[in-house]
Amino acid sequence: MKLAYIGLLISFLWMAGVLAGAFYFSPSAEILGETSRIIYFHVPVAWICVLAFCMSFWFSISYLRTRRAELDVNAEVTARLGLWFCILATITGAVFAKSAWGMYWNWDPREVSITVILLVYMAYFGLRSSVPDPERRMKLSAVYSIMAFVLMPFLIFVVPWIYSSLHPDTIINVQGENKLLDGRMRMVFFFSLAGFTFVYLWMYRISARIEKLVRRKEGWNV
Amino acid sequence: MNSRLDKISLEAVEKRYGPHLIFSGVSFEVGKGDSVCFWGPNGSGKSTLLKITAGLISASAGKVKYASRTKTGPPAMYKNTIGVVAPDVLMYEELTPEENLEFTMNARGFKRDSEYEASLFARFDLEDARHEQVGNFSSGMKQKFHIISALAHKPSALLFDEPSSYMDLSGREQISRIINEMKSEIILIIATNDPEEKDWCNEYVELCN
Amino acid sequence: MIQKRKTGATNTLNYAIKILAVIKKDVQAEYRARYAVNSVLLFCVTSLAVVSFSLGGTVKDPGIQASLLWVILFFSAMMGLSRAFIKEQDRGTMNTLRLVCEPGQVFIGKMMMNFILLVVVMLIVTPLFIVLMNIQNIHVGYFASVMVLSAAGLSAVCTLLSAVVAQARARGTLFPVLAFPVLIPVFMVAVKATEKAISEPSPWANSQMLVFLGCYAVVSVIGGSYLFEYVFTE
Repeated sequence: MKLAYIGLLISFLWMAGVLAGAFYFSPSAEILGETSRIIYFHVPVAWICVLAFCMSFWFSISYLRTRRAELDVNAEVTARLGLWFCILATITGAVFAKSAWGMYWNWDPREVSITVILLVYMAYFGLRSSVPDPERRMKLSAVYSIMAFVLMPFLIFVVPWIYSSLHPDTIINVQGENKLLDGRMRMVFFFSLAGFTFVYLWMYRISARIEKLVRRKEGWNV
Repeated sequence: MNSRLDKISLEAVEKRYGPHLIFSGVSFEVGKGDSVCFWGPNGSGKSTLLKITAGLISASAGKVKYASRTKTGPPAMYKNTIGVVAPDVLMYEELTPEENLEFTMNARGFKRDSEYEASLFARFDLEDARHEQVGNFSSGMKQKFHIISALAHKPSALLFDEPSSYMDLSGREQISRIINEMKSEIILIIATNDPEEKDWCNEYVELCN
Repeated sequence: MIQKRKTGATNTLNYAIKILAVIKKDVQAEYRARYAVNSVLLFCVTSLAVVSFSLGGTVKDPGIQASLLWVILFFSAMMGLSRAFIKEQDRGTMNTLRLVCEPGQVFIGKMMMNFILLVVVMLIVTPLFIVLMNIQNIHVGYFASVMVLSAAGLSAVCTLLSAVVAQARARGTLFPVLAFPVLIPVFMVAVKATEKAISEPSPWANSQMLVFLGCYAVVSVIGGSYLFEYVFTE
């Protein structure tokens, strides 16, 4: 119990440190100026979205193999968190795009990829909400999660290929500048990455516990 | 290769719908020549238990074992020797009985015995309707055809869920006669709350709510 | 005593016979009722008419032409391929399938049926499209390969999703929602490759896209048949 409070305090301080670092400590980038600071938030959030996707896939496979309801809880919770982080990533990306390239949406490969992941998450929850039988719901959503994950590499491969041929100029993407070469920027960036990961894992733990309590109340043995 | 089913055994079988328990602790063994009735009021789970025994649904807990004197192995090996007649195991209405049988026999991997099939159709008075679409049948005729299709491959186990529903008196007699003929050669399980159907069996398993 | 079929052949042949039984049953049922074929063809022709009436011969850009063709084909696929299992579930024959067939047979049989349906649709829609849109140069071999490979991937994914959706509610709206994100790679590459087929003089020079479509088809067939067992067995 005490450990949880200490962990919470550390996360809070850590994220406060990230904010300070992003706005005060790190210098602004050469080409983009102050708008580059969004990198400390946008990239970690997108990374968490992908991490959540992978975790949900893993729990889905484990569920199909063992049929333990708690694995479905984990899969659902990580998918939900992944959805939120995906929305955040899309919004922060659009904000960056507006200030860097003048438009909110550019059909940049990364923008398209994150949108497809968003569609997959929404489809996953759409599926979950339209199956009344609980066993079927768990089974079918696990299958969909696995299928989407397995076919995702095709998307990752295809999108830059197709879209780069249409818009070569927008491949001056987030990794294109020199910003990461600066020591301070790199430090803040990894600091932020770690911080967001902790926050995500903490959110996952709490959400999973809440969801398990909810299901226990319904009569499940989780 | 003859892989006829000789024994079905259930061990501590339990079925849940979500978190709610339908039944639990069901254990029994049926062998060739046994006839068992799943007896109980509506909603007690007889049909569910029948489907679990047939291998159509999996149990939430416990084991269902199929054994053959010639082979043991996964249920898939013997599933195609089980005949099932149940309200939600239906035939294709756009096809004729002939085409339906062609499908089920080929899918199961059995060779058709046209004489035997003709005799079955004759017994149930369906010879004339053999080449008409099943969708045009009356419900009694459809039920008779379901029974025929369960018998056509000479099953080693027959699992019936209320077989005489939609049947008139002569239909019931036809079923009862054929059951009595086959009883000693096969495993027979009937799920019902009809006392007459219960009498067709030697033993019963009672399910309470 | 009923004897197992003595074909003197290997297990593979027996398996193929079982799959053919599934396909034949579907073809027969479809031929009698003609639900899927009729509604899909009607939809195709109508949307084709809408597109060509509104744009006529004014669209010259091969990229746009390819996109329009694939929009029509894609939505037709959404309409037609979703029915594979929905009808079985509603008519009570799903359990019959579970009883007499193994999951693998059912998946491959249904997938081939969907493939045939898609190919029929393509054979009807694409010539009409080419004529109505005044598409002059078309490299038939490459074009046909794109169509066939895309159809393979589409039918595998749609068959699996049809089985998923059959056990859910709100099937009509749920199916495209589930299918679209997963089919985007096929869609995008098919459009690009079709554009190549109607604009470039020698599209075979760089056949990366065909390889991509082929890989997608292979992965979706294998993954689909593996996952289908989980969906199909209760």
